[in-house]
Amino acid sequence: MTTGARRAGGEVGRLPPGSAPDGGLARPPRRSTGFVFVLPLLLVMGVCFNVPIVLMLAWSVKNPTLTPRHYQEFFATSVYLKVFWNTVRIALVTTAVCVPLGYPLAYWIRFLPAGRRLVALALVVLPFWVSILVRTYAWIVLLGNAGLVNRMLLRLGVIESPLGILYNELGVIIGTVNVLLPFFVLPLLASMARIDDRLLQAAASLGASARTIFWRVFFPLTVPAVSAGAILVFILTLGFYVTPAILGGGRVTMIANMLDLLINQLPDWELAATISTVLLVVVLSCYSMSRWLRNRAV
Amino acid sequence: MRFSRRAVGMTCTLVAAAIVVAVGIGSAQEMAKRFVFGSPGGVSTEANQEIFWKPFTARTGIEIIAEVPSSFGKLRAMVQSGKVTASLWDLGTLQLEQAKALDLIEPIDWDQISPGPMFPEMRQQYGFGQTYFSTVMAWRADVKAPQSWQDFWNVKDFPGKRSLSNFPAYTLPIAALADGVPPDKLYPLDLDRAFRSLDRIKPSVSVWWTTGAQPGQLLVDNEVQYANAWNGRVATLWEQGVRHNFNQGLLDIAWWVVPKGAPPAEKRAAMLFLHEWSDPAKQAEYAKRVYYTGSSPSLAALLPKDKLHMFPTTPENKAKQILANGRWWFENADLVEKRWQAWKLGQ
Amino acid sequence: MTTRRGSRVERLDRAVLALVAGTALLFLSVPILIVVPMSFSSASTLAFPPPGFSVRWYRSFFGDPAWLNAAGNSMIVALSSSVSALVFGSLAAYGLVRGSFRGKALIEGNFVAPLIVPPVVKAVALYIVFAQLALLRTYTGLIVSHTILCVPYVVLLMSVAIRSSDIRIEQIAYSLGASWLFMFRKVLLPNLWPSGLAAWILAFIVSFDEIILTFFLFGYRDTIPKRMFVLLEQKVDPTITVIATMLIVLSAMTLVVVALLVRKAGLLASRAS
Repeated sequence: MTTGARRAGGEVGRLPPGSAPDGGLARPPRRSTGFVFVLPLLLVMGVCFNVPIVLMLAWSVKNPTLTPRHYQEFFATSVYLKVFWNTVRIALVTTAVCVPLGYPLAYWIRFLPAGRRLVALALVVLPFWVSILVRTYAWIVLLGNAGLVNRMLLRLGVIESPLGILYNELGVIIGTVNVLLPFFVLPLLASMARIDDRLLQAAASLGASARTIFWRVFFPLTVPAVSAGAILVFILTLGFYVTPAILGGGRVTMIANMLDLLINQLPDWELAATISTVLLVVVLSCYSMSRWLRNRAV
Repeated sequence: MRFSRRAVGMTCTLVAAAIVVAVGIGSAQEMAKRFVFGSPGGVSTEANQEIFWKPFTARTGIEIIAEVPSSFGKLRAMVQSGKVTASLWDLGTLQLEQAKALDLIEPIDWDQISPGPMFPEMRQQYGFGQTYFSTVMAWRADVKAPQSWQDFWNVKDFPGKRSLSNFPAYTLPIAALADGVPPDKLYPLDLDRAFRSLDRIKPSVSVWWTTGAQPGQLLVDNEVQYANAWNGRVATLWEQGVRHNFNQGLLDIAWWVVPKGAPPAEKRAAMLFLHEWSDPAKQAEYAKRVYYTGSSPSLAALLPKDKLHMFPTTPENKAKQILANGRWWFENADLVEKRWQAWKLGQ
Repeated sequence: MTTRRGSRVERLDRAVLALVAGTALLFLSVPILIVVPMSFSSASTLAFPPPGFSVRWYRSFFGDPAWLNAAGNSMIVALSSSVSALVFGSLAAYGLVRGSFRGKALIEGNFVAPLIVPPVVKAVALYIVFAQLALLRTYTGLIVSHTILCVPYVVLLMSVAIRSSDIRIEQIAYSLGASWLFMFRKVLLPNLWPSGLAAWILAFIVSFDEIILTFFLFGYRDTIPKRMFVLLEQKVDPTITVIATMLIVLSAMTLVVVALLVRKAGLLASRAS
């Protein structure tokens, strides 16, 4: 895609901004420059996050001496693996729905005239303020057997018995997409707003059709934001517990619900630490791989 | 007389020692002016605060601070961290056993509480029984009323959607009872039989409820027509068309425990407070509000006569129910949970 | 110059785009459309459409000091956390993108990790350590934990923004003798403020909506979602819709004010030039 952008850039005009080979510092390179910017956050996180989390994850090899027993138990128990895989699957589906739904929305808003753009933006941002709890209960009112949707469809004679759109995986995905779509759209919109209109006008003046302008100029510039947004949505879905707990009707057990069980009810902190470690390793590897791919592409 | 330096030195040391001992004994008997109470929050905690806490504070000047919510994980984290700030904590029967096994709690100081008469099962070494609560069958007023779990399982004669608890402890026993297990032979639970029984009702179960408020809400909204629920939550929905009875109900007890390492002075204050809870008059007030009955045997006489059927431990209702077996659940918790999840994932 | 055929294709494209975008927008707005009317409902449970009009739930909310106290706490914590997350996170993102030092990938992974570690695990881990640091039941402790929670969003967003911002403008500024601060005000800020604003909004809402960390770390103090969650455990109370409605109204008013300010700044700028 980025190679395509380069070619497109060569055809239409200048290279898109920001594609300096390594994005390096403006000053002549010295050893370890820029670290000072990272240091404050690193210190705070080191004390208030890294240390506690490592101590907690250490439970996975504890009890009381070093043992791989918990990992063996995790991988040997099909229930835990199933829950793990179900969670990943739901996260993939949610991401796969958010991207094709959110990209057109962001694109459409970006090209609206200023007044209407503000209204549309408001409609994206305002639902954010409806807490996830309230939103989830709103979906119950809407999608339940005695909910608005089913009542209307029954009255119109479209269906004979209520549709099962709640208290199952479908309900969870509807709720999750509804919560996470703004997380995808807002950053994407911010990135689209940065794209210079003059680039697009230049392409048009050179005879490119609207579709060509989009696919050759506009879209490649938004790819970093799209992938960042998709990764964000994916990772966030993995950690959801409120939505599956309430909208899943007890049928949809995701990792976070399982961990809540293991920590608050069973309790089996060792196994909880094991599952968390596996999750952390898997997701961080995927994340690093995606970053490595992106750096290679640039 | 002239005192030798040695004599003076020894006297001073003795006096100092005496002062230290006196202060030590004094502070050991000292009672704090406040203590922290881990509570679940919501209606029952509010009733607790109004009926028990406020008069206690007015009388003794000891302030009670509620730490909400009071999950088991939080208790464990607190004791694990070594900085225990709470003197009382709310736990269920299974969690009480787990807390004992993990060495998270201290024995109750019954001598200090010197309570009024209590049902014997409410007095445990490590737990103070606060109230009884029951898992009962509930239904909408406009459908046929079940009289037993076998009726509940009978979807032909009692048509409608069901909601069952997502906690195996409140659902597996009734599945066994529905299959015909006699109440006195319920424990040890025959898991195979219980899960087979659940297989039969599975297609009719719309929702596996995870919060106490859910089953009542589902019944009110006509989302389901039958549910198992905690009696207090559905008792308050009588006017909204929800009915329940205590036939074959699962009687259980909610406990208060003392976290291990609680500050001794505050623990003493907490024990003093617990004495309040053995007062049947106050228990009656509490039960009238939340329908959970306390430990006093003379409580039943003080309950409103027209609503006697709504309380778990009136003699008539108590006889119909089965007391929970915390020990069995503790020993089998892990196994049951894995099997429960596997069973649900199979659906 | 577009051909007639091209313009028909374009019109079709635009129609489809508007349709998809409109559907997405409608889908997003569903919560508002449902929740706001329900806050004026006379029913005692959540019902849509509401059977009658009543302000009893508003009275229930404003009449209860516990709710107002929770609202105040939520505001304090969310504002502090989101601002500090923005500051720390943006600086870190700048260092990650523009800097050159060893272990960048590791550090970035570290900054994103709070998103991945499941909430209840974070809560227990932080509880045990904060207990030693005497940060439990304090505003500071909660704000620090929320900051760490929100930082990944800021780092992710701002990294993308900084990376696509032209470094050559910064280089030019430096070569003309500008200090970093000047360059920040005149180059970075104007370029990055949309992403910064988006990041701040995300951070604010994440902190405002946060439940589990607050459960464990805030002790007997309440925030809005904490109180809501505990209450919902016992009964589904329409008071929660009141809170949502008021937040929506507050946020709408803020948007209007911001829009007016931006328009005014734009007018001033054009007048100045």
